[in-house]
Amino acid sequence: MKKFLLVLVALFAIVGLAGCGEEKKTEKKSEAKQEVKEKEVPQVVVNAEVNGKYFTEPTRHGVVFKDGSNGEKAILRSLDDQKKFYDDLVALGATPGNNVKLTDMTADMDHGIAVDGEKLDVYIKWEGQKEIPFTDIIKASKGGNTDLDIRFGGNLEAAKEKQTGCILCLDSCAVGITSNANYKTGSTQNNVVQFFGNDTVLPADGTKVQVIFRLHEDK
Amino acid sequence: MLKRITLVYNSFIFAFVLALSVFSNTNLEMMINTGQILIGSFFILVVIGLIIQWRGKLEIGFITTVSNIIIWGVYIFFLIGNDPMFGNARFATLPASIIREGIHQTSIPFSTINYLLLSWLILGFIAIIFLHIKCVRKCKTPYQMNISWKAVSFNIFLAVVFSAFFQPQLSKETKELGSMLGSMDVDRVIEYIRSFGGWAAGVSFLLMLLQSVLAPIPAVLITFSNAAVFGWWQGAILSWSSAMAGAVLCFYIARFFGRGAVVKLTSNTLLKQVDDFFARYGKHTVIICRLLPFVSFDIISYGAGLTSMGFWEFFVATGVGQLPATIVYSYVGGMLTGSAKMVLSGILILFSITILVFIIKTMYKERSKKK
Repeated sequence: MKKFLLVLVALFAIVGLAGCGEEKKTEKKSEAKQEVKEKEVPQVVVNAEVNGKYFTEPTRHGVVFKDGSNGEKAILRSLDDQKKFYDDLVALGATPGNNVKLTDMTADMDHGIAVDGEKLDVYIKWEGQKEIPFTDIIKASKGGNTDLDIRFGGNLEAAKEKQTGCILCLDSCAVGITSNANYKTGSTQNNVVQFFGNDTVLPADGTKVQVIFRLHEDK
Repeated sequence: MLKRITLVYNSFIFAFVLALSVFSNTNLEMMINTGQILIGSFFILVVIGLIIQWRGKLEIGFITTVSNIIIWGVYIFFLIGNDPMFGNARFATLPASIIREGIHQTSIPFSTINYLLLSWLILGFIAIIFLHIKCVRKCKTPYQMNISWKAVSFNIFLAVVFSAFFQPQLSKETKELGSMLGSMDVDRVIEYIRSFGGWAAGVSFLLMLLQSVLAPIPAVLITFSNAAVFGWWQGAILSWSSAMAGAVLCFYIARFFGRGAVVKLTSNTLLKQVDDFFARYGKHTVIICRLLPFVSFDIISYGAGLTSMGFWEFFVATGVGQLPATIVYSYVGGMLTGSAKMVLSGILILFSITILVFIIKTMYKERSKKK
């Protein structure tokens, strides 16, 4: 009887492990299919979570890596590292601007500069929502412009030095890997504009989302 | 037990107010973890409170707790409620997000944190009521039953100052006001007062009160502006009366908060000598100081409040002493520069020396009689 039970348990174990192996193989197969798909559409995907705090509070940070010093200061809390994001953009073929210096960040309203670099198209999607333009999830204070001109600012050295985790800033920035050229440095500090997460579009606080970066295409 | 719970409860209230206030400054909020300010200041306040309690010098009673809840509750509502864009929606996310950031647990939903926060505030207060009633019946030494007006006044004063610096709309006004007064530009002050139309006199009055409490702001700017806006004698009356109100305010602030400290910090002999001096020569001293253009108006008012000088003596001496300068500054206004200013200063110094000589002569005669 004992031997029989042992054999039975062993059989179950074999079947179970085989099943896992099968699942892994199928996962790998589907990952491979996804990789093939991604290769067809060159893009960088950043996994993130919604930070509901900024539905009602202003911020200048669109997407920040959660372990950076500004990890809790953004509309979206990235689960992916800003340095890996930089490398992925370079691998995509994007050219960094590297034109904004740290000293430009303390400029007054008349002396700010706009970020330069490869123009990027940015989208966002989440479970149950097909991809939509990133601008749709941003709300601005009265008179503010939510039309974003996202550029690959670069700033890898500043990002390594400051460790803020900044991936996408909503006005031009000397530390964020990408930022918005439509607003010069100091725009939010000098209250030219305030940005918020759009709670009528974004899902609830804590929801996982994917932010998609592609090289700009003229349409 | 009651003392510890009320200490912890009130420390939490103050720490929360501080964290919310810092959060309201967008630039500060972007730079620092306000949740850590909440946690850090909470622990610091509890530790300091425990140390002072062990020395037997701190009693935060039930009524003081209630007054703290009311005062700081109103402040918090004023700070984050009725937002022009979001109404009262910020209450649902802001406190919870500060706590979440402080404990580095970003996966906890806001609703859970709000539930825990409200539970702590309500149950903590119920515990304080329960323990207070128990203590009233059974404690050997009676616990604080009466309201501490000093604590209430200080809290209200602090809430007003915090509002001026942290409430978004008010802080803009405060910054503009500070820039205007700090620029020493009379024309800017004149335009600022004029911009309030029918309320201009009231605003000027409040500005003079403000400059009395916050010593670095120059009263002479307001005096010049009043003359330019309202006419010289109307401006002089407004400047004189508002300066008197400011002087009385400083006198009583010092008397209410400072006299007790002065009594504790000085020896009885020294204090008696100072009190005797001001009892006899207080009004003359105040008149001299009011006449001298280089002596701070506000410091004299605070100083007089710390002594045992009678209120009416102080009031009359201040009224008489500041009158010449007020009339002249109002009449001549911004034209008082260079040699004209030196002549006026010389005349006022001469008056002061005359009174000083009178005081010294009187003191000498009294000592001679005693011998």
